[in-house]
Amino acid sequence: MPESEVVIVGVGIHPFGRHEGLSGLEQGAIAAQAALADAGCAWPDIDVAYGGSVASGAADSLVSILGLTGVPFVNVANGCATGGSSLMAAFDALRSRQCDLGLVVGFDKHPRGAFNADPALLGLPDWYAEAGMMLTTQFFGMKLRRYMHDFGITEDALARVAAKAFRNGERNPNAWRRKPITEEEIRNSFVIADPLTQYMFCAPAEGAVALVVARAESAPAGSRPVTLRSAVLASRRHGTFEVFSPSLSSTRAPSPSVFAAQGALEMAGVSVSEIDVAQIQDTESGAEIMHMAETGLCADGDQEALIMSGATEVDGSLPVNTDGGCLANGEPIGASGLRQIHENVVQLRGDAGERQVPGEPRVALSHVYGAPGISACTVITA
Amino acid sequence: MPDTRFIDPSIATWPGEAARLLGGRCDGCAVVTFPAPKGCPACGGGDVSQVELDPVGTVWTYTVQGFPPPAPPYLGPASPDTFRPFAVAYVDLGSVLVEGPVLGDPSSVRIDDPVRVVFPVLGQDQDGNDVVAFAFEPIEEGSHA
Repeated sequence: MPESEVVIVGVGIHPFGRHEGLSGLEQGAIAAQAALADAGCAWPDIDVAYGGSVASGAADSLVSILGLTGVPFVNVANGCATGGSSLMAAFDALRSRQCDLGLVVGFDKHPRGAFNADPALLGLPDWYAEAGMMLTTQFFGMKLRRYMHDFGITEDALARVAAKAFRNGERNPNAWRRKPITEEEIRNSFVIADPLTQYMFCAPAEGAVALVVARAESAPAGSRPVTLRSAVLASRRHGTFEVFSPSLSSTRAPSPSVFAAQGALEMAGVSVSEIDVAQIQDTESGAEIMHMAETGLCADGDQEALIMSGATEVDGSLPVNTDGGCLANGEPIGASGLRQIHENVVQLRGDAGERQVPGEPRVALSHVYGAPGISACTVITA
Repeated sequence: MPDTRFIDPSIATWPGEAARLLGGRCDGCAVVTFPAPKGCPACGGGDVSQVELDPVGTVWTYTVQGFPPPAPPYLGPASPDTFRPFAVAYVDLGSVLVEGPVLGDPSSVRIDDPVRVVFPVLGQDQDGNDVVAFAFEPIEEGSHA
């Protein structure tokens, strides 16, 4: 029997930001119920579920809110790729015809401030943290500084990327940061990790996203499906530049993002020139710039002209992070990757309102990247 | 009695004027990693031999740590009164790029700057011992490495 085509038939989101009195799990349930309503089906119709959170408990606890239907519900824990990994698992279960209708959900509620990490849990020696190097922000600053040196990216472009994010966030009712910030304010804000300032970094946050996915033949009547063409995960190879590395190899290798993006495009059977809209990991301004090249959307160094000419704006030739990305939404880790897919579905349906990419976009790429060197990419088509 | 100790004796030959960082070289593929790994991250080989790293190199990339790292675990000056932004770099020592703080004015650090490894006191542990760690120090033009 041939593989089944897989479609996304419902999307639901609980707004990102800070929500006093609402747990991560409760936000996950709200997103799940919204996705089910959008798909035109009910929780008992779901015959497989995958979900994850990093800081807000076991996703399968959602059954106590959604209903005890006996559904097989798998908890997924894969850092920043938790959402992408959940979607990949559901994709495989559906295309191999093990089930008909699946729910994918991610949620989180992180404490304020930078993510703190325990060296022992990551296989790192204690001295690394004692010496003041166990900070993700340093990695972002250093990877970016080298990239700017090699490919002529300027600090103006960093500020422009952040300003775009907040402008797009202003047009996204589910975003956290909805107030435009000028490039001057962004450049002059507190320097966290040179060349990156406070407003060039995303912050830990709260939020939830859920998707209802189906075999194409099982899409609920009246739903508005988009096709999930690929979901690909890659981990790091020797020689990549990753967070929390006491040393780096003297030979360089391509980032896992390169392989995840290539794999997702190949599986989808689309070329990068066909991408109409892209959501890519923008933990900080420079990440968006470097990931544009790592995903193949442009060549190394071409970002400067693309960004400064407005090509990556909502109405540009290569719209990137149309919902404001991590910069405007913050990063609830378990939900962040699925937020990108939510935005791509909304764009392909033509439902994005004030931030709608013009010209009926048909092909959308999403890309997450995270510690300790993992990337997940998906392609969806109208 | 408070004493002076090295932050982790397995990563350098400290004490001594000619102290060196200690890495591991894979017996199979010769890839060098710091600190010495249990197994080679490049080829998966299990036989890794201890190797002294070159004490001089050049800055491959850098950043400036703008806020005090969480303390603990950070042992350096971390209060609002004592913290000063410091540079952190990956230094190309030839066989491997090692991450470490760079002493001196953080705003003057640039890619390709020559630096040497040094072993300054980082701070004090909870028993009051001075804790020595490694760092990199810019090599002034015209001086001898």
